[in-house]
Amino acid sequence: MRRQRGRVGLMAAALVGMVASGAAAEVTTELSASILVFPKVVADGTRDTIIQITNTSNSMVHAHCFYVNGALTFPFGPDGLPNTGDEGPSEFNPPLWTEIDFDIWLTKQQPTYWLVSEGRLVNPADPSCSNELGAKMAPSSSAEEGYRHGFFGCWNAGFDPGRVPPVVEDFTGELKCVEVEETGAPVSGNHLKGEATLVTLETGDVAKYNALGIIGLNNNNGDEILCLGGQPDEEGDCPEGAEYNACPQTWILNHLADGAADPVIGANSRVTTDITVVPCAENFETQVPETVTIQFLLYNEYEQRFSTSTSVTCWAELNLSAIDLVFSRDFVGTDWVQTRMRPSTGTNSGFLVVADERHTIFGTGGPEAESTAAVNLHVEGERPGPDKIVIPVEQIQP
Amino acid sequence: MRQVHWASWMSAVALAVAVSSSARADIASDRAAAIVEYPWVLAASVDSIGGADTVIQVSNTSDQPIDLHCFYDNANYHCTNTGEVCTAAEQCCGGSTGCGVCYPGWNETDFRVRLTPFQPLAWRASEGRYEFPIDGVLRVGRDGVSSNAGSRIPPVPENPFIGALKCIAVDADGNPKDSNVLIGEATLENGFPGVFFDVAKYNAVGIQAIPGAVNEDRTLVLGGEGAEYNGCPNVLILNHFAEFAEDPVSEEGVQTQLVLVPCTEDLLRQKPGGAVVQYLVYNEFEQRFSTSRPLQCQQALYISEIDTTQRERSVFSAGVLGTVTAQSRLTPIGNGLIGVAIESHDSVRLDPSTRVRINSGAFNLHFQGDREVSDQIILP
Repeated sequence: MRRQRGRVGLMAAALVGMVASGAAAEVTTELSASILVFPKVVADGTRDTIIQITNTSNSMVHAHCFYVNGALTFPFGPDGLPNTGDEGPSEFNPPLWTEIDFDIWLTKQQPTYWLVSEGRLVNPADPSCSNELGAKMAPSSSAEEGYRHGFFGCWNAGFDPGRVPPVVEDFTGELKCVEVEETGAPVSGNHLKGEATLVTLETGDVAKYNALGIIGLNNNNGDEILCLGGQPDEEGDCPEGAEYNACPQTWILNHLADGAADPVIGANSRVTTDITVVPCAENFETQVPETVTIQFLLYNEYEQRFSTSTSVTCWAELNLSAIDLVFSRDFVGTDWVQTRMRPSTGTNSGFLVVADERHTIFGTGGPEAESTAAVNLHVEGERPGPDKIVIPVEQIQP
Repeated sequence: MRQVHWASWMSAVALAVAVSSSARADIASDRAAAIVEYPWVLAASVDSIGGADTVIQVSNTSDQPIDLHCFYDNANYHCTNTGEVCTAAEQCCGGSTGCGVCYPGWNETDFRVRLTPFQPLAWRASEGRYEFPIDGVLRVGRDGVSSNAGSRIPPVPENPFIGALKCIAVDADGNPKDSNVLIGEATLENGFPGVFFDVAKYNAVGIQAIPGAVNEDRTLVLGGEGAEYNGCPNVLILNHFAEFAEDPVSEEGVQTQLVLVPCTEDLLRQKPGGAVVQYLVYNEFEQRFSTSRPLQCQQALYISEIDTTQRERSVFSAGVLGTVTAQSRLTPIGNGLIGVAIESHDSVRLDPSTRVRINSGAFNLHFQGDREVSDQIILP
C-alpha cells in the first residue's frame, strides 16, 4: 500500500514535471494572443500610425476593437496657453478617455492593415497591386535610381476586415482588439498578432513595435467581463478565475539615461526616451478611467539604485525626465540604466507599456537630424489580479 | 485502495493543470533568458558601405552577479583571391590578382563579461569595451564583492562586419548555467553626416534554460529529447508589407530585410548551422504562395531576394502578391531558426535633392510552437 502510494506520487511528480516543462517550452518573444493592445497610437498631425493585424489560424477570426482617446481635455492647457511639451495630464487637464469601437473579421491566415487617420472602408472594388502596364511602375532591381520610379499604389487591396473608422484629429491613445466569436462573445482563441508603425509626417521617420498580446485561457466564460489573472471568485465578477493571462508584475526597460549622448554620434547628440502607459483594467461600461501608480526602480552601471513614482490615468505618454530628474544623465551618473517598473501595492490595476527612443543630432543652428525607434519592454512575474476589462453587454451580443 | 489511486491521480492532474496555467501566465512579451541572441549585428565605417554601427545592450535582471560567454559570428563574405571582405563577385576582380569568387565565410570570436546585480551594460560593436564601471579595484558592487573584473569586449573582428552575437549565462568556471536573468537589445544606427540618420531597435531573442536541466557539458541542447533549454520555434511568423508597396503615409516604397540565424551552431569545430526554410505567404485575399531557400550561418536578405534575382517578380512583391500587406510563415527544415526583421521606408520624395534616405524600424518575429527535434550549441 505504502509502496503503491509512493509510485503514484512519483508518477504524479513526473507528470507535473512534464507538463511544467512543456508549458515553458517557448522562446521568449511574442506569441499570438486573444487580446491585442497597441498602447501608442498617434494621429496628431505630426505622426500617423499604421496598424497591422493578422489572423494566424486556419479559421475565420472576429475581433471587437476599441480606440481610446487619451488626448488631453485641453490640448493647449487649462489656461489656454500652448503646452511647452512637458505638461502631462493633471487633475485640471485629464485625458479625454473617449472610446469608439468597431468589429473586424479576418479569413484564415489573413493579414490586414489600416492607417489610423483614415481607417478603412469596405470597398470590394479596391484595385489590386499589379505588375501589368497601367499599374504603377515597379522599381528596377539594381540601382538607387530605381527607387525613384515609384511604387505600387494599391492601398486597401484585399478583403476588407470590416468598416474601420478613422480617429478624430489630434488623436493620441490606444487601440485594443479582443478576439470574439461570431456572436460577439469573447473567446480565448489566441489567433491574433499585430504591429504598429509610427510614421513622422515631416521626415518619414519610422518606429515600429509589436502589439502586446494577452493570451486567453481555457476557462473563458464569454461574458462581458474579461478577467486578466486572478483566482476563482464565485461571488464576484470572475467566477471562473483567470480567463486571460495576468498582466506583468514588473516591466524592465533597458535604456540610455535621458539626455545622454548617442553612443555612435557622440557629443553633439542627445537621446531621450518616452514611455506610453495604459492600465490593464478598463471599464468601457462605466467609462470611468483607471488610475495606476507606477513605482520606478533604477539601477545605473555602478549598480547604484534610485527610485521614483508617478500616476497615470487612462493613458499617458511620458518623457522619462518629465517623470523625474532621476532619469537624466546628469543625475543618474552613467549612460546606461536598467529601470524596473511595477504597479504600487495600493493600485487596483496593472499596466501595459511600450517605449520610444528619440535620437537627435545637433548642429550649430539647433537640431539637424532626428530618428526614433520604438521598443517592446521585457516582463517579469505576474500580478495576482484580476484586472478586469468590462465591455458593454450589447457590444458582445449578435 | 482504488479511491486512493483516483485521489492521487486527480490531485496530480489538478496540480499539473495549475502548474501548466501558471507557467504560461504571462502576456506574450519578452522575458529574461539564459541565452540572448542578437541575430543582426552590423558595423561599417562611413567610408566603406555607408556608416553603420550597432549598439549592443545587455542587462542582468537578478540580484546575483552573472558571467556571460559571448560569441560574435562573423558572416562576412570574402574574395577567394584577395581575402578582402566583399558583397558581390565584381568586387573580387583586381589587376594583378585576377578575378576571384565572393565566398561566404563563418568564424567566431568569443569573449567573457561579468555583470554585477541588476547592472546594465552596453557597447558599440565597432569599438567593443575595455573599461568597465565596476572594476573590482577602485569600485566594487553593493554586495562588496561583485565586479566586472575579467571583462573585456573586443570590437567586431572586421570592418565592415555583418554577423550575429550570442551570449550565454555561465558560472565562474565557464560552465553553462540555468540562470534566466539576461535581457538584451540592439540599436542599429546608420547614416551619412548631413544627409540622413536612422535608428532602429530590436530585442535580443532569449532562449530560456529549463531550471535544473542544464548540465556542465559543452553541448547545449535546445528543445527535444534531453532538453536543457527551451526549443526553437516550429514556425516563425512575419507580418510585413509587400515589397515595394506604398507606405500609406509617405507614399514611398517599403522593403523588408529578413535576418535569420540557425539555432544549431558548432563553435568547437567552427561549423555553422543550416536549414532549408519553407515560406508560406498569405496575402489579404487569403491567397497562398510559397517558396523555399536553404541558408547557412546567417541569411540577411530583402524578402523579394529570397525567391528570385528579379525582385519585382518575387512572390513577396506587391505586384505579384496583389495586396499591400502579407503574412509569411517560415518553417525551418533541418535546424531551428530565429530572426528579426528590419522594415525600410524609402523617403526620397521628402528630400529629392539628396541621395536616397532610408527610415527603418526593426521588430521581432512572432513564433508558433516549438520543434520536436533538438538544436545544439556546441561550445569550445
